[in-house]
Amino acid sequence: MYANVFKHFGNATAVDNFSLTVNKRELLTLLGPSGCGKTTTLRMTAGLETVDSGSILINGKDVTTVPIYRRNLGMVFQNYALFPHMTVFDNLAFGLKFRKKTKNETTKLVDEALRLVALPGFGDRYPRQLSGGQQQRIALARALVIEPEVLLLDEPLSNLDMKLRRKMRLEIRRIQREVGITTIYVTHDQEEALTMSDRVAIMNAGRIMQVGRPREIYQCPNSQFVANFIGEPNLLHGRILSANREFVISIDSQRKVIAMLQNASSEKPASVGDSVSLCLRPERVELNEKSIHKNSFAGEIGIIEYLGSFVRYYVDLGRGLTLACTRQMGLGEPVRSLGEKVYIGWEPEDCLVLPEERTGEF
Amino acid sequence: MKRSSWQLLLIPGAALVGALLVVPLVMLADMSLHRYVPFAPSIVVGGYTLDSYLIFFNPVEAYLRVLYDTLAISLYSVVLTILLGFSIAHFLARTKHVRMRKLVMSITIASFFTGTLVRVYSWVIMLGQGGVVNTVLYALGFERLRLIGTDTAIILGLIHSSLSLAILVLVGSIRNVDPSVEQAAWTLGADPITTFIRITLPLSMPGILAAFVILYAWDATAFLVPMILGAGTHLFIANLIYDKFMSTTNFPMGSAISVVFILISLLFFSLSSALAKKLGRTTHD
Amino acid sequence: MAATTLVFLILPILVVVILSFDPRRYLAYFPPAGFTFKWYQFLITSPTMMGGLVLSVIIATITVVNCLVVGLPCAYCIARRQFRGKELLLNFLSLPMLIPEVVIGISLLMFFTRALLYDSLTKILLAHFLFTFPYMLRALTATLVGYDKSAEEAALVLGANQIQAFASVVFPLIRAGVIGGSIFAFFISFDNTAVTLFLADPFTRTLPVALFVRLKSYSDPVIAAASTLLIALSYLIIILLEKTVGLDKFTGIAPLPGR
Repeated sequence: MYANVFKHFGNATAVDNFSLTVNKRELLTLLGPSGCGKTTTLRMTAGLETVDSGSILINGKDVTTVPIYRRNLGMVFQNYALFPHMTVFDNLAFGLKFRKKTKNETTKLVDEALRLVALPGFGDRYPRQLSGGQQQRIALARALVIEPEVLLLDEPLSNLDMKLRRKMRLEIRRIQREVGITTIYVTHDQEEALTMSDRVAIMNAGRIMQVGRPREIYQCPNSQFVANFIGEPNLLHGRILSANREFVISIDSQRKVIAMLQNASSEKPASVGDSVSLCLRPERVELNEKSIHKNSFAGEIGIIEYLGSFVRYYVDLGRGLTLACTRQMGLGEPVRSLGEKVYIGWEPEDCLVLPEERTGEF
Repeated sequence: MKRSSWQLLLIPGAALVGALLVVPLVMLADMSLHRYVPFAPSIVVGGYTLDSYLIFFNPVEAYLRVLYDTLAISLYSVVLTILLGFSIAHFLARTKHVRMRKLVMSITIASFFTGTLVRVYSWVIMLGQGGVVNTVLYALGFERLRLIGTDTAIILGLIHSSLSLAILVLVGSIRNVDPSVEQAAWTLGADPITTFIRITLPLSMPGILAAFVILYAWDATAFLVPMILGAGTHLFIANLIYDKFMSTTNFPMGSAISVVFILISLLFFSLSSALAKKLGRTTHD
Repeated sequence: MAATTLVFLILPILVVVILSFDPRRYLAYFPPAGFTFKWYQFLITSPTMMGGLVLSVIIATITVVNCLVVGLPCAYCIARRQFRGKELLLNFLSLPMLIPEVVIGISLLMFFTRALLYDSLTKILLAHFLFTFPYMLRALTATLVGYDKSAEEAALVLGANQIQAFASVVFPLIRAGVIGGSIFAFFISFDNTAVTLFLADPFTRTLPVALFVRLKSYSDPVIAAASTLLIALSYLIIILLEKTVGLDKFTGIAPLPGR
């Protein structure tokens, strides 16, 4: 649990009033762009960075001033940081030495840990003899073998290639579930965050933008930043013209969008004249020959990106406005061609009204 | 550039060093195998003989003693230098205070640039009868010590002259130890001292070994330090050779001693190279 | 512990600086008995000393240039190409480091005499090249191994030939190492006493040799004054280095055997 944690580096505030409670046994991901403070927060949790003000509690105990080697945490580093001059067995046994285990206990625990990460019998090898994925798993084993209270992972998968990354994501999740340990995971890869976490906390410039289950965050982002960071939405900027039973938002001199009143998120209610961003997920729009939907605009297909299992169309709507639309392949929809004239449309419930980013509020 | 023409770049270097080094050494070796002719040192007389070598290795003569002195005193000195140097090197490699680091670095480098002669004399001042140490001792009521002419003086001088070099070499190798490995040890429960002993030290071994070799070569071939601070009591090989050539003009003897020493150095050097290679394999990915 | 070591390092030198102002004629009594500049005056007005200084600087500079000219291509080959006997070559070229200066001095003296080379300056220059070269070579090799090669490759792809690529891309990158190596070599040459002693004649005395010779006759604070000046000079160089190249880059240059 973090309470009002602050951290400065010189003039820059790295972590700004960070407050968060992480639940037992959950895997919570700190997600954000580079420099948003997520790694700093993680390192403060481990004790590798000092806290300028505020406190960090683990299981109710205030650890803010406790030195690193007494915090009983397990940490997996981005570059694994395995001890190159020790065998795998010694790497794992290292942490146990400070916990007063007998030789038999140590051997048993190490073997169990190796079994847990699916590398039994690797005890005699040296880190340099292992592949990237194997080293990663050993790093994980090393952090877990000491039976820590919390597990911390600092972008552990960023050095692996795509396929391996996908595989390891599932592995890590499986292991985390099996052990049932509270875990904090740091990454800038939103796919990782979405697929692995119980909850995600999105950070930017040292602050938490939004916390919630992956689905919530994707479907109901609370700000333009969050919407932009997760997925690749269409963002339309406009001004509220009226807000009686529904929003009518003008996006330029001739075009209007209708959105539901419930689909707005902000602390203060929106009022007429406010500048807003409309978040429109590309998979929620449709392309048709005719204008079918309540929100519908005519345009021409400018770019087609073929991505294997789905297609992304960029539709040019004139006057500088382009919207992206992704459709799954093989659903019986016709594949369109360049230059085709279509209507791109969506229903009011498919778009979200978000505050314009400058102020963060309506 | 053509395929094999870049090898031509090596030729000037190799040729010059070859000419300037090999030829004189061969001449030296040649000289060492001839008989000693008093009063006509550079004249070669008679056939080849191992006389000088036999005299050198004869335990009755004092030559082996000098060799032993040189190697032993240098050993003490190198070990101490590495110990002291490591403390500063570690600070330089790990500290986050930029100003302090630059300050310490400047002092180290400046120390490196002070000439040998200066350095030796500064120690004469420190250790002499009227020098700093003795003045302080006397003021405190103790007897003055005769420090110049002891092996302690030589050791102090050697340490002082090679310390900056040691620091420069060691800093590089400590830097090479990935700090995140140390941090991992901390998170696993190792306090800083344990981490240092079990992680940092083993991983800096290649650098320590390299420093050892360089420093040993530097110290064992010292000339001024043992000459002035040793004041004739503990001769080093270099002094002995000088003496043979200059005072007694026994060129063959001087040459023989030189050859023996060079061979020992080469042996030592290749052994430590092999060891370094072996170590390098276990401490790096 | 680090702090004590630092004190150890500085103290003797500090003492020397202090004593350079001592008016008494015998150097070695500690608390200085007064304050005077006369030794400095003597230094600056002495033709032997000043001449020695100038000579030392000239010799050191020429030596550095020689080492660079010969060493850079060598270092380039060693750092960037693989060939049989590379280790052996590097070790061979480093041999002068292992040999006592006295031996180098005497053997070169014999050699030059046999080769009928009598000019003192030439002899000294050749000798200085010999024992400075290994240090320069190692420093250069270390730098050349360490820099990022992709910039050079980019230049080559864009159409520069090897030499142009070197001049415009590689050289700026390795400048720090080259400067570091040069300063290192300069010092080695400048400070050298033993070898130069054998090869000098009364007309070509470098500063260290002049000081050494003087020391045998008088033991006065002149040497302290000379040292203080040199120390001040080296601090100046360091400050300059820091402003231009950055001291941190220096640590990459220390030569390592067995590599």
